[in-house]
Amino acid sequence: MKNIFLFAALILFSINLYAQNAEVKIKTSAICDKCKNTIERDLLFEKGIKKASLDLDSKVVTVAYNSKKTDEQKIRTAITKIGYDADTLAADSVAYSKLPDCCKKDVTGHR
Amino acid sequence: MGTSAMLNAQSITGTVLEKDSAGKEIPVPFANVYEVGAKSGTQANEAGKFSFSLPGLPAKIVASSVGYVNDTIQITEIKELKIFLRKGATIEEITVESKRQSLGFSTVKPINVEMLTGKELLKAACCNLSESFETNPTVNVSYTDAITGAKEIRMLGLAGIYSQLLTENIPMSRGLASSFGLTFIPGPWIESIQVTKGTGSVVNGFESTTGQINVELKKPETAEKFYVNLYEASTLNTELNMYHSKKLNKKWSEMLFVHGNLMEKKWDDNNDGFIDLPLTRQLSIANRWRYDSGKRLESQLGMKLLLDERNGGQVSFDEARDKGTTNAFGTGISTTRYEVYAKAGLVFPEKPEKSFGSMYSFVYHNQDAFFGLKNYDATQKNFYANLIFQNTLGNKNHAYKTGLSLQADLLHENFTQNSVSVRSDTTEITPGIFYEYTLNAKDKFTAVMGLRADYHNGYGWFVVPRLHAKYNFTPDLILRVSGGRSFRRPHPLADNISVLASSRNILFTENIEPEIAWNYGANVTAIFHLFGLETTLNTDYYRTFFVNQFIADSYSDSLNILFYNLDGESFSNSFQTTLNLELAEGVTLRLAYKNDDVRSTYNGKLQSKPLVAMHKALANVAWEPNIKWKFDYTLLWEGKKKLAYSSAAGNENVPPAESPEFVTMNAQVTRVFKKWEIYAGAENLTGFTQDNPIISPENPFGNTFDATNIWGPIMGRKIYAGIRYSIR
Repeated sequence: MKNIFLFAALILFSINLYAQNAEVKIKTSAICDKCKNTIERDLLFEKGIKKASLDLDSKVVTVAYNSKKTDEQKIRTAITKIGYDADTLAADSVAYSKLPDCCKKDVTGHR
Repeated sequence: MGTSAMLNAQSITGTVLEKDSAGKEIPVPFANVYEVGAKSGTQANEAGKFSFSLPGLPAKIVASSVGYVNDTIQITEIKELKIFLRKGATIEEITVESKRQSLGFSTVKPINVEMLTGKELLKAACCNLSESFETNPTVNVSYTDAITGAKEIRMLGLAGIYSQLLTENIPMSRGLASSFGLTFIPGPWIESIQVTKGTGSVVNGFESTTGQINVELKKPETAEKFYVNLYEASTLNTELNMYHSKKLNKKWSEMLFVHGNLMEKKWDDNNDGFIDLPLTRQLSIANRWRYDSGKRLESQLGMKLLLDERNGGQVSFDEARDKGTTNAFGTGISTTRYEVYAKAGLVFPEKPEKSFGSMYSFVYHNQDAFFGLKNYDATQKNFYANLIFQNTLGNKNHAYKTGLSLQADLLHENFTQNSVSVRSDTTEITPGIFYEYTLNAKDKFTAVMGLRADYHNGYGWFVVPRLHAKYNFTPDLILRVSGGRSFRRPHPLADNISVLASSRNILFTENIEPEIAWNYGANVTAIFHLFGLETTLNTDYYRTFFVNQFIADSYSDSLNILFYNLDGESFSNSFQTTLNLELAEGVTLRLAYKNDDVRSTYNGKLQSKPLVAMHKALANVAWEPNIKWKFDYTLLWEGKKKLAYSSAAGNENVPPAESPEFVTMNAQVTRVFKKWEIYAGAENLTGFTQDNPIISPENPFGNTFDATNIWGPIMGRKIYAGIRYSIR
């Protein structure tokens, strides 16, 4: 039991030691809770991204990442591949077409 | 909290609003607004205005109000906030949860509820509701005999029949389903489980002596579009789960579930000639529909079909050749079950606290069972209806629920032992009326007082009062008390089907009377921060005592199990303390200790209930370094248990023996991809098993054969692996 804790603590410690923490705010085209969940979840699968949280009112996603492993432009590209605009980059059209109806921009009257 | 945080404290102000149908912004009065982690928070005033200070930025704050969906927002700069809430679902009980850990102890509800979310449920990859509690200390699950694979839950030290099992607030596991009902709900269908400790609300009926377990299934409007899960274990148990959900149009959504499991390999690792795990075949299909008019009416319809077969006994047993003979001992239970249910709710958009809800269900349950030369065939038809109206009295501090309910059961049973058949037909019709008042004083003190009266066609009137109260000393220190009476009509054979797995005969020594019990207890929840990481300490003590109880006595007579009514004392005192702590980001530890003192009067002597461990402890560590990996490890320790068999073995003067204490461990690893998940794990890692689970296995038709004294695992280590695929 004790060993497990030590092992876990060691790993967490080593992660912190080598990480170069950075944060970026990116404006997206998210519309609803579903978009929020998709972006927040899918971004976590990208290399170097540690945290992502999207504020629906401002549509801004705040991403915490390790600057040794990724950069702002890669994160924007990742967002477009999920199907959303990222600042000035437009959404990947194939990914966009696969989004659920409520997440598409031309739907009016939502939120 | 450090000084830097104090220096950075920011005052934040804003308004909680909703948009009405015309898009106009109207205030939501008295909403709770707080920072995630609940370090600070406040209640909005009548005009929806609030103001409080945050320890620093950025911060996440949550706004919640009964009848609305919670909204979480990230605050990065100080500005006047506008928080919009949307109206929430009203047919289901509204769950206002401030925290969403995998095992959440609510700080909002007056009732002691533990919420097991999907995250917690995934910790046990397999297979059905009974496994869902493997990492939960409140509900204990154990096999009831060495042959059928029936699993029994225990809450507060008492058998599962004393807690009420609900599926989306409809009682679904009554009577015949009480033995196997837990294995009839596939794990992947479950969205969340709410475990209520202590007496339940009067709204759900007169049962629920020790608690309520409400299972919420996946919902068509929120579930993944498509999901499939395939599971394979080293025991060659294969499981398949699938569901799909579809929004048909703005008003209708639909969902279809399929579950199948198969285990056909005869294992006999302990070489006693009996298979260690029953052979099982199960197919279960469910379909549910939801209608939301977007205005006043919401409705749900659902149906479920279940076919289940399980066989056990001697390895050499061949049903076609040996059933009804003494060539070899075998058991078989085959179940067919249909459920149909409907719910309809009327909401009043201009007054969200007011609603009318109704639920109806019809269940047909047929079970044909044989245990060697004993037979038990039974059919139950049940109709249930519950109509609930809720509203406030003047303002939101005084609310009530009132309504009418009906339970109707037709039970046909045919029981054969020693070549004598007894047939019994029971008709039970129980209409009832209830009223429940909730007082909410400034969110510091909440009290729920309920009263119901039911008229049973055989036993007449009975009255069930219940009380729940909660006091918040601070938002992070909460005291709850509860007390109430309950009533239950026992179904001696259906409730105790496992006793048939013994050579002893069933002997009814008198007519069985309804069971009446009182339960009361208290609970303290404390949330605090150790090194800035959240820690929850939950401690409770509950006592249940029976005015009348149905007793299945396996102590007093070596040749028979005696069925009679309690004459004397019977009680259960249960203490539990659970510590949940975050060791570091992504690492959580749960430690629990439980003490159950359960005693009944058997033949004039107050004795511990057999097969209940007085001391139990659990440790669970979960580690999620990132979204891609999840590790989980559980250790369970069970103390000594009283056994009832020594007198059955013919030594009537020897006091009942005790089982040894033992430890079992489970572990699991999950790798998550965007659409796929792969998991692998082991149950009973150390492979600990009970020696000689069956007494006299060499002579199953002699008079000392007994497979009911099960205190530990029968099967050794089980390794499993599986995949999940989902389209969101």
